[in-house]
Parts: sequence; structure tokens; C-alpha cells
Amino acid sequence: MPDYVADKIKPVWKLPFEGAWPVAVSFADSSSRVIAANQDGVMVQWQLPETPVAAKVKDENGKEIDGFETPLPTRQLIGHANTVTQIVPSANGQILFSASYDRTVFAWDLNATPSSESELVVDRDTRERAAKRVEAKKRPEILDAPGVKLASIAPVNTLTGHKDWINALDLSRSGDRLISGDDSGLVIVWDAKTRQKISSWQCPGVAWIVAAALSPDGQTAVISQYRRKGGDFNNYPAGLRIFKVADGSVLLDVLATLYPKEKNPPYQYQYAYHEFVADGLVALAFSPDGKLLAAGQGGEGGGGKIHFLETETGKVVRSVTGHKYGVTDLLFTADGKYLFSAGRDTRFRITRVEDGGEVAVIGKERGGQFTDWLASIALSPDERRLAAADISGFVQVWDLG
Amino acid sequence: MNPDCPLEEHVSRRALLKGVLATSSGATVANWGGLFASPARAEEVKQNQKRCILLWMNGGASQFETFDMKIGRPNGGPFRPISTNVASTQVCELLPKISQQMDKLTVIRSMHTSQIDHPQGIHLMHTAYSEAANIRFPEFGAVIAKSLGHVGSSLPNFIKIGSNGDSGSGFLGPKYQPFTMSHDGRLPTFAQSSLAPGIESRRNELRQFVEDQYAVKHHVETAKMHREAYERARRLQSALKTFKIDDEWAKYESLYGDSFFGRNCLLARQLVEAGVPFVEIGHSGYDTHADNFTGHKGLLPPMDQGWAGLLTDLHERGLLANTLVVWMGEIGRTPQINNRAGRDHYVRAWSTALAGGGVKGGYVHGATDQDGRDVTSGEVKEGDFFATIYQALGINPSTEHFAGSRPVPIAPFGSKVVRDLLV
Repeated sequence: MPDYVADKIKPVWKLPFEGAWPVAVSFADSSSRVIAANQDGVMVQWQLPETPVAAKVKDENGKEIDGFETPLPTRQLIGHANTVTQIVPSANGQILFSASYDRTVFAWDLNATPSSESELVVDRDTRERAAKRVEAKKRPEILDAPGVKLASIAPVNTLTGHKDWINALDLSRSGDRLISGDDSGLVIVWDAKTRQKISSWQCPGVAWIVAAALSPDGQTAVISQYRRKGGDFNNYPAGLRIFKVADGSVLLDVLATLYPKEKNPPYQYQYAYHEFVADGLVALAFSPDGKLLAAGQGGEGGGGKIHFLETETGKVVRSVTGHKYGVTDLLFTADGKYLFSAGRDTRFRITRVEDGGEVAVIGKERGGQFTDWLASIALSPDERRLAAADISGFVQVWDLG
Repeated sequence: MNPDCPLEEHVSRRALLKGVLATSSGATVANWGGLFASPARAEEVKQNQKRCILLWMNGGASQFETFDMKIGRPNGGPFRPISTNVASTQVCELLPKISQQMDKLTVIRSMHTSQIDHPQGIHLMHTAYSEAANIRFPEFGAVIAKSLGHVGSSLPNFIKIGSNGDSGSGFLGPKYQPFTMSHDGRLPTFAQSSLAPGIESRRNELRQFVEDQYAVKHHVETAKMHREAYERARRLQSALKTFKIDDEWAKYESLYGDSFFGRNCLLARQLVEAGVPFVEIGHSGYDTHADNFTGHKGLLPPMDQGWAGLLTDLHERGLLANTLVVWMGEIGRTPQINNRAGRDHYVRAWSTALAGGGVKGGYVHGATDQDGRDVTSGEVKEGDFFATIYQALGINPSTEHFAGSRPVPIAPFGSKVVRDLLV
């Protein structure tokens, strides 16, 4: 597995995907096949060249610089009717799973024969900016120009049963189990091959499921819940619990372990709780050996801490800071040595798991007083490329050296 | 009704006859006192007195996530519309309970107001006026308390639960100052005596004696007002049970929902039923510059249930026809979604809603363009909004009060009543 050095990490492509925010991204079976999805439920696939083709490109100020030819998407995955929150590939990368606010999980066969052709405008924002610079009668020519012709596929399976927005989706490292969780607190574990339900349970309280992760063997699941309190009584707005997948029983209530209320006066309890959960632990990942759990604070109020916890005991090994605002996504490398994180500060960071040391901070803040987000990141199977869904309307692809 | 002529001074012919018939002697004049204290009279007052409940969405709820959705537009957001019990009218899926009360609502989609930030907006949407250096405008709760309240009532005439806005009674004076409770329903400390009744009574007698002596020598207004305030606080002691809902809660929890807002809605119903003419309930957290969608998804469900429960309960008790329920905040939110998934402040086109006394049900007033940027029809400015509220409550919007020698109409000069939405 590679070691990462900040100086060797270079941007390669900015794949245009303008309009609604790109919020989910994944590689499939190779470092050449990238799939991204946006808040309108539009999903597209790019086939990237193994070696980038040199070309002049424009930087963010419109100045020509040396870069690489920008590939256009080749395929559209048509089915979702609302924001796609998560996409995860199967173990062999041939199947993709996607979860959405439309309350469904879809399974896609990425090698399926296209069923139709679609046309997609992927540079809407660029067109609108250009149209503003020309006289009114020429605007339709720009705005209504043809989009990219794409081969379209439909999902091969629709996994139903959720009652509310699905924000959480994860595949076990063993590849045989898939977990999904929705805002009603319902968790469903699926057989990733047959796409049948294995088990399901209702999480306690009224908080939404904002993240879920399966242990490498798929036997246990960690669920993070959070909700703006909204005046409800007697319900904590958050939860972090480890469940037994077979029957949905709670193996460990992490927050109750870390902050037993009776040991602290209420104000201390509230303070500690706020420090740990902040605006919700919206990103979770198990280390490949299953011994560690990483949990990232989301939102804007918590400072974007990442906690490393022992999965057996819930003990916090360390918390690392760095992201200016909330964390959006977390990934362990296959060897467990590094943790990649993305945040609302337009950056991704690489953290050494062993000691929490900072290996690299990539990207720069953009967006003004409040920065644009990298909403999601993905590592290629060989862990040499990283893709990031950038809300300003493209997918960043980085060569990790 | 003439606001300067309180309800106690009026009685219908039917109630008068009831009172006369109820006396064995038929001595009408001799029975006046009995008539006013009779159950028939009390019931009539209860049914016919106009009241107002303000549901205040502090921070400014989004019109796009409530009543003016722009589905399919670039900044429409992730929520979907649902049908209501009024044909061809839809609301956001976050309002499932209110969707079934739509036949009781007038929604105004065409608010266009003048103050875009919170303190100024809160002042504006509580008083109908922008802040001025040389005059303290009263909140409309104070105006309604003055117009519809009962002098000598044991209960306050203007109650705020979860305080928003600090204009209070303004130049109307402390007599109409709001009685403010915390958002969790706690009474202010002065409302409850910590003394044993006997001790409290003796202290009061002593205070009265001292004040009487003082009043003989000093004819000052502030001393009189202090005495009145003290008397009101003492009278309140006999009515404290009206502020308790614990005994009722088990029965109504499923209707109003297990939230502070739901409890406060039940309390408001109890208070207006007991004769309080104006109650405001605050619900905070709507200033969603960041994470607008999850913010509204957390806030609106308990609000939806509390509001819908209130309308149902008022309706079932026969109180809704004379109780105007106003739903609003100080501002709306931008059509644009910023890079924090938030919506910022916006006052060019936003929504409010009215229900009950004096307004139509199942009615949508005004419209905005396809992205909700501008009002395209039925524009309602702040003055028009308040003029309409006053009109619905039977208060002449041209009524003037005096700030010193300066006449100040309760709705600004030039305001127009939106008659389309009145019954």
C-alpha cells in the first residue's frame, strides 16, 4: 500500500457536474471509472484515461494554464428522484449501491447494456455566466445548446422499506452485507448479493440516522443519530451505538459510556456532550481490522473534530482537529495506516492513524466567508487516486503520488 | 365592536332576555348585577369575545419549506409537496398535520416587508412600524390588550410565552405591558408569592397603608401605576391555576405533540378560553443560514403538530370563530441556497398564515414568481397585514393612540385592509 507525501499529491481533473450540488462520489472497479451523484438525484459515470492527456485548461480566473484534457461523462444512471446521499461500490466494483432522500436504495449493474440514451447539461453554471456577458438575443444559443449524450442504465434492484430520507449507507469490507439507515431511525441490513433483508431495527429516540458503518465482518454496526432538538421532550438529539446486526440489540451505547449523566451535574454533561457530538457525528468508518472507529463531527458549530474510539469499549483513543468546519466523509486505507477525511473547508486531509499526525492537507479554502464543501470523497481500488464531490459543481480527481 | 367600549358594557338581546327570564321576580333592573355574573353571560362572553394567538417563528421560517414551494426549480430544495384537505392546494411535506387543517387557513404568499434583519424585523412585525428614535411603538399584543382586554381581570391581557421582541406596550404604558413566561412555561418570579397567605396579606395591608399615605401628599402617575401593577400581581394569585396544564396534558398530549411548543399551544388555548385576549407563543431556531433543510426538518414537525392541535381544539370548543391564530416570523428566507446549505434573510416575497376569527379558510392569497424572488400578485406590506389583523378582530385599523400629543394610528397611515381574505 502506498505511503502518502503531501508534495506528491497533485490535481488531475475537475470533471464538470454543474447545477445541483454533487454530493456523493465513488470509484467502481478501477481508478478509471468514477461515478458521482447530485442533489437532484442525477448520477453519472466518467471513464477516465489511465494516463491524463496534456492540454491547456483554464484556471478559476479564466487564465490558460497547463493541465489535462477534461473527460466528459459517458453514462447516466437514471432512477433517483431526490438527493443521492451515498454511493458505495460492491467488493468487485461491478455493482454500485446508492441511497437517496427518495427513500430507496438502488443497486446498479455498471456493466449492464444501456437501455436508452439521455442528454445532460453538465456545465449549466458556466453557460449562465457566459449568457450574462452577451446580448439577450444570443443567450438562448448558449443556454439551450445541446448537452452531453449519455448511454443510460436503470437500476437492477430497488431496495425498499425505508420510510424517510436515507442518509446512511455502507458495505462491509467482506462485501457481503450492506446497511442503510433513515431519518425515522430505521436501520436495514441487506445481503449485498441477493439484496434481501437480513435484519432491521428501530433505533431509540427520535433522532435521525446520519451515519452508519458495518464492521469488516458485517456482524456489528455502528449507528450515529442526530437531530435538531426542535422542542421535543426527553430525547437526546444524538446517539452513537454499536448494534449486533443479527438482532439489532445494543452492544455498546458509546455516549452513555462516555458521559454517564449521573456522574456529572447537568451543565457539565451538556458541555461534554456538545464537545463530543457537536452538530452530529455525520461520518463514520471502521478500521480494516475492526478495532478502531473514526467518527467525524459535521455541521458548522463543532470545529470538525475526528474522534478515534476503541470499538470494544467506546474509549476515545484520541481526537484530532484540523477541518475548519464540519467533517463530511471519512475513509480508512486498506492497510489501516491512514484516514482520509473531507470537510466543509474545501479540503481533504490525510491523518496517520497510529498517532493522529497530520500527513497532508490538500486543497484550499474557497467560497468566501463560508467555504465550499467537499461533500464526499472516494479512493480508487489501488488507492492512487482520490475523487471528491465539490459542491461548486465538479468532481475533483487527485493523483495521490 | 368599538374598542373604547369594553365587552362587559355590551350584552345581546338574547342574553338580556335570558337574564330576565332567569329571575323569578322579573325585576329587570334589579337583576343587572346578577345578569353579568350569570352563566349565560359568561358563556356569551366566552363565545363572542375576540381573541388572538400569535405563533411566532423566531428567526424567520422559510416560505419554500412551508407554504410557497418551488418544486423543480434550481433552488427549490429537497422537500416535496403534499396535498391538503383543500383541493389544488399543497403544502410542504413537513406540515402533514396542518395540511389537514388547510380548510381553516388563509395563507398569504405575497408578504413584502421592509426590514431584513432580526431586531428591526421583530420590531416591525410586532408593531407594524419601523423603529424610531423618538417614539416607542406598542406591540400589537398591547394594542389588542387595550382594545379587547378586561380592566380588572385577574388574568393579564397580554401574555407572551417564550419572549420575542422587547417593544412591549411602548407608549401605551405599563398597564399593557406583556406578562412574559419562559418557553418551558415557567411563570415569572413575581407571579408567585413565597410567603404564607397570612403574612402576605398583612404585608399587603401595610403596603396599601403606606401608599395611601403617600398618595395623599403626592399625586404622581408613577406611584399610581406602581399600585395598579401590584394590584394586578395580587389579583393574578387567584387565577394561577389557569396557567397549569399538567392535569390536562395526558388527555391532550397526542393532539398537541410532546414538545414545549405543543404544551404552550395547549396553555394558550386555556388562556384565551379563560378570557385572555392576546397570547404569543415563540418557537425559535428558524434563522437557518446554515443547514436550512435539516433545520426545518427538525423544527417544523413539533410546530406542525402543536399548531394543528391548537386549531382542532379551538374548533371543537367553538372558540375558533372568534380566535384569530396568526403564524409568522419577522422575515422570510432567500430563494438562493448558500454554500452552507442555508437560506439567508429575505423580505421581498415571503409567507404568513392566518386562521380562525374573521378570516377565510382554505384560501391562498397572492403569488410569487417561479423562483419565489418577487411577488407577482396580491402584495401585502406590513401595514396592510396589521390593518387586516385588526379588522378581523373588529378593531378599527385607523384607531389612533397618543404618544404624548402625537396621534399614532395602530396601522400606519396608508395601510390597506386585505378584504379578500376576510369573511
